[in-house]
Amino acid sequence: MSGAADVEYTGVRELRGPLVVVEGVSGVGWDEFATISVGPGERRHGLVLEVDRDLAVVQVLEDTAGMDRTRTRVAFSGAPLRVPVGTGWLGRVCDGRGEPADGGPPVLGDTDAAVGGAPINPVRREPPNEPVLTGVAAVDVLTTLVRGQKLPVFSAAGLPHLELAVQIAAQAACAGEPFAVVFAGMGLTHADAAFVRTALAGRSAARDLVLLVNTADDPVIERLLTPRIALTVAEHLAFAQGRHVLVVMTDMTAYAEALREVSAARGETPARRAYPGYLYSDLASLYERCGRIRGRPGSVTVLPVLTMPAGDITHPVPDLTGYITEGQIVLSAEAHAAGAYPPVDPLASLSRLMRRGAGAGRTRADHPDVAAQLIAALARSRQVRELADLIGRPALSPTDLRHLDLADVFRERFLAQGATENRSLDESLDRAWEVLLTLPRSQLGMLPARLLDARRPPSADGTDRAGTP
Amino acid sequence: MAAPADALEPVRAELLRAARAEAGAVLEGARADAEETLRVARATADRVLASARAAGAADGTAAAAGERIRAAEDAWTAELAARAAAYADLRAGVRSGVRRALAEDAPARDRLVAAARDLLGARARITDAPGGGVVAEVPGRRVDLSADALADRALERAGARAEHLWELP
Amino acid sequence: MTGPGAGLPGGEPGPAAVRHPGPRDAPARHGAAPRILRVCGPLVEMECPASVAMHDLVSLGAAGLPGEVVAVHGGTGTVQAYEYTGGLAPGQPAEPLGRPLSVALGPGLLGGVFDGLLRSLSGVGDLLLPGAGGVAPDGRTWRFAPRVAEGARVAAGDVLGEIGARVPLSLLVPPGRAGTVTAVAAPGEYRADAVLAEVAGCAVRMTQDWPVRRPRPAAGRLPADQPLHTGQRAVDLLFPVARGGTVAVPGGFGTGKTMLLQQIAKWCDADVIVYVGCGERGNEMADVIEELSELADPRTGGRLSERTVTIANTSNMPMMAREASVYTGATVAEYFRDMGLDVVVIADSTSRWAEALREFASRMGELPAEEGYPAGLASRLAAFYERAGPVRTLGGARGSVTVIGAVSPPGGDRTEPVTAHTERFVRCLWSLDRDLAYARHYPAVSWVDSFSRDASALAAAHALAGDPGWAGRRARVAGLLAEADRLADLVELVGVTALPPRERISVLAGRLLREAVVQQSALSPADAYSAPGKTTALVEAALQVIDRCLELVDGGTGADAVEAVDFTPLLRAREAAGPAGTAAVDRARDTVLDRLGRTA
Repeated sequence: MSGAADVEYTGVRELRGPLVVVEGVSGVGWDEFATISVGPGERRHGLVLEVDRDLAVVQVLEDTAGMDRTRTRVAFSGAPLRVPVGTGWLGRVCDGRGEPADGGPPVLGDTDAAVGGAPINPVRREPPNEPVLTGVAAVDVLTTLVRGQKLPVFSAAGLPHLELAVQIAAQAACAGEPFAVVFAGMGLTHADAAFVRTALAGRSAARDLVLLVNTADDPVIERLLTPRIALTVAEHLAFAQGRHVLVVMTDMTAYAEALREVSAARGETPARRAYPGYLYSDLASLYERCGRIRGRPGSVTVLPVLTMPAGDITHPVPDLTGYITEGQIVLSAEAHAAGAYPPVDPLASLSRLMRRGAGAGRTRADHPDVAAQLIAALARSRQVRELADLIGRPALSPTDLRHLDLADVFRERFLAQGATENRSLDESLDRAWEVLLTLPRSQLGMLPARLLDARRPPSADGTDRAGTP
Repeated sequence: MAAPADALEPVRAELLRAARAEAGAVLEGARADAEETLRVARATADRVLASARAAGAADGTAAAAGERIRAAEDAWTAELAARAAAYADLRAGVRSGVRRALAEDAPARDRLVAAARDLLGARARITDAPGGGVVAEVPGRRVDLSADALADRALERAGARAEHLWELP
Repeated sequence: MTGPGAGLPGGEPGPAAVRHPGPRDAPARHGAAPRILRVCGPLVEMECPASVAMHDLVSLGAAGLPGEVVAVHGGTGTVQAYEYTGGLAPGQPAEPLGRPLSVALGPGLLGGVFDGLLRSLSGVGDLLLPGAGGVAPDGRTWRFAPRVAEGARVAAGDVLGEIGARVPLSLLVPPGRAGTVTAVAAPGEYRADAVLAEVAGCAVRMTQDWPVRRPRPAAGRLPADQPLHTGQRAVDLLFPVARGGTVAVPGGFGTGKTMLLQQIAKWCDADVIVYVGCGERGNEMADVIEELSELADPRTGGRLSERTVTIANTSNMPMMAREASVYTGATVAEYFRDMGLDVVVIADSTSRWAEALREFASRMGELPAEEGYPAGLASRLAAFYERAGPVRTLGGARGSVTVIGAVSPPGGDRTEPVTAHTERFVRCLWSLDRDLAYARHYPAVSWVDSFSRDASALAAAHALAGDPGWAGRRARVAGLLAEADRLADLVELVGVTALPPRERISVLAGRLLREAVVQQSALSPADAYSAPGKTTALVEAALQVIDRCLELVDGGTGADAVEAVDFTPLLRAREAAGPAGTAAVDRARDTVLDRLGRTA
């Protein structure tokens, strides 16, 4: 992680927030990695934000607390930060900067790679078209995660998004192909960090997990590095070693706060809610590292988790994330209050790549039709419920009443599952059928007759006379 | 940054050669130690795993699966600790190797001083570092060519080569 | 003549189809190159010799990263770097190249995929590394057939010959040149860099450079009165755009903005499409590239990709190339326009372009205006959309550039600066509605918030072309949709059964128009494209059915009975009819009219 760090600069001109300004430097490049000696035995790390003639502005990952102008020495590595990459990461637990937190030696590797990554040539991208199965019915059936996709979880404080992220990280698989999970935690409480470690112990012991955790009391600025290290490690496991890698990044709102803090310290012009104007591009520089590359076997799939402050989906972090990602899994406080886990809101959730990753040869032939019909039925169900709120249940038509009841069946029989229950796709789809078949056949117009006949012969549908489509 | 690195290269190469010769023996020792530690750790792990498997076979419950995972985890933790110990030994070995090499090679100090003056100029203030090597300073800049700093940098550059310490023979 | 010709003698090897602004083009060096003074992301300050002009290209550092001079202050020049500047340090060289950011325009553009500076992305490698954006030598050849003889007098814009590509192209006398044709190449196959003619002693190559920030000249502007048929009913029927018009497509995330633009790229009846993916998703870009190369062009029989130039600057590619990419796209479009072609530029998304402007302005320390955007945002947007228009070319032909720009309002807030300013400058607005999208109504073009200022001119064009009923149908559909919306609020409060019969039929009419006509499935091969005849047939069928329903309730039939009729054939007609069919639509209409007849 360090190169020819020979000359240390001692001319500290200014210390401000997370920034240190060093004078008298020469040959220092923008975005270089720096090692900062603070006092006997204490080393911190930083990135060059600006070089102007002989001045370098360095952003200190561990903050400037306790630094003074006389003892601080800064050495520059000669290049933007690189980390070792390779299978040495598998099974390891590290802090947000990639330093061991599991009692082991430093992570070593034959090769290293720049943490900033390099954009994948759009011409060389392979459009994603195979699923990652998570064992979570609501995700697998209604918002299928596709290899190479970026699909965020939108949540709010108090909802079990961490449980869901961990469940997906623990259960996800790609039909027996080599698989790995890189889990980047940012701003997690110690209790949450312990929960993550315990729940993913099986994956870790099987050496197909890399865990990077920046806790809430770890340095805030360090969070800017955590997802980048995670993605750099993941890219190598995927594109050099042929694994399908799922990168879980939580909580992106905590990440964005670190970005805002640095931006404020630099006195930059703020955009919405004081986040920097480059928040979109910065988030894109993380999310866009997912994908597949033509002629290479592996894939990087990204699952960012973010909490919407006050549940506001127009807040810049979820809003800009939504513009970049390929759909979203939205958790709803209402479903959570009704006691359902995972409390996924099926109508607000969407996987844009699902039409390519689901169906015959990918998941199951009836999957796309079943999913589309279930969404349509739930949408109708929601309309009916709003109507019922206004005009009362007795005024509803028989068909409307069936739709009204559908929501409960859906929640109890399909949506709800255990936090460690790994449900097979077949079972999830069969449960979706079970929910749908509570409706009369006339309400299932999106399902081909052939499929319907196989599930329930027309003659068996005796109650089918209610209402018009 | 390229030019200063070049100026130091011969010094570094020579130091490394001396250190490597010294470290060779240290490394062998470390490796033997590491192997022994790892052997014990792995044997323990195998035993725990075997009993967990037996337990699992007996009742096949989730608890047994949890037990298996815990056992694998414990074994892995033990192995990581052994690796960390081996790595620390290696670092200590390389440090003492470089210290010894510098102590035995009187002209080495002159070459370090010359290298430091190359980087910082003729007016650099040179002080001897405890444990060997020198530290040079001018206002605003400083170069650490102490034995320990040289050793640590050499080890960092060795990167994954240190990993053969715990590769299975 | 078989085999590739070398072109005219005397022409030294010219640039390949794609020019990389690298040190290769540097003028002879006099003394040491100027040095870099400051690096802050894409903003670089350098020592600036007096000879350096605004917007000149600069080659930065050992890797020769391209940059453009955007300000000169005393002896210091400010440079906007087009690639990642990690590792770039004060003291490294910054070499002025003595020319502005230019692109090479030639037949090799068609079917290609390029970055924001029009450097080919084919054959570059899996990852885009700074300084590695290279020149892919273009070994392809095109057939050239001269249309002038030596000794002919020609002026700028005149046709010198024809170039055979899937879209027939012309070799024109470049702007600013005129005189006698002193040489012209024989018919044959030539490479992109071949010299094909000489006018007044100046070589005219198949591929010509043009600076991207300077609009290419035309003889004059023409009125925008010819319809651009997009194949999307919601647009063609309600908010039509003229050839040479401008459209903004604002929509929050998830409203299907990119999907709609991709549909238009595939199916609109322009000659050439320039698709600028500006700060958008990589997977989506890969998808559109793949689909265009698989789909057949109904007009030429070739692949759709062969009439398309794709400029891909995904959101993680360098931000400043995003700034350049819209101008690059406009320049490419004008090049084809000058040959008398109709070109559509699709920019997805202009908001990301505006963000690049804001980012750089902020680093320059410019005084921020609304939401941190530079004060010049409105004029920059206006200038970009002004590059659209139907024109009389220098050669006297009619050509057009239509610009369709996506806008991504943060939080769906339409009052934010980019959306608000853009709405002022465009002729058409296709506003995408979140509620429609959530109800899976696609394309989610709102009939309440959208507009087309070309509609009356286009109504006249339709009337001239033999369809005098066009304006009437449009007004009727718009009126019925608005009436149904107004009643929908009432229905939520009192229930549909509380309405008078005619109002109940209005609610039904709204539903029939939405589901049978305005909705369109981008994923269905039968309905992704709707030919003008099919659109007309669907509208007329729906209107006839609605009129019949009104007659029935006026004649005393209960609204219940009318509502209970199975309208499914009409709703499925758009799917059953295929892309251009009308017979199936008429059959569906007759079936439904027949069923209605039996309720009387």
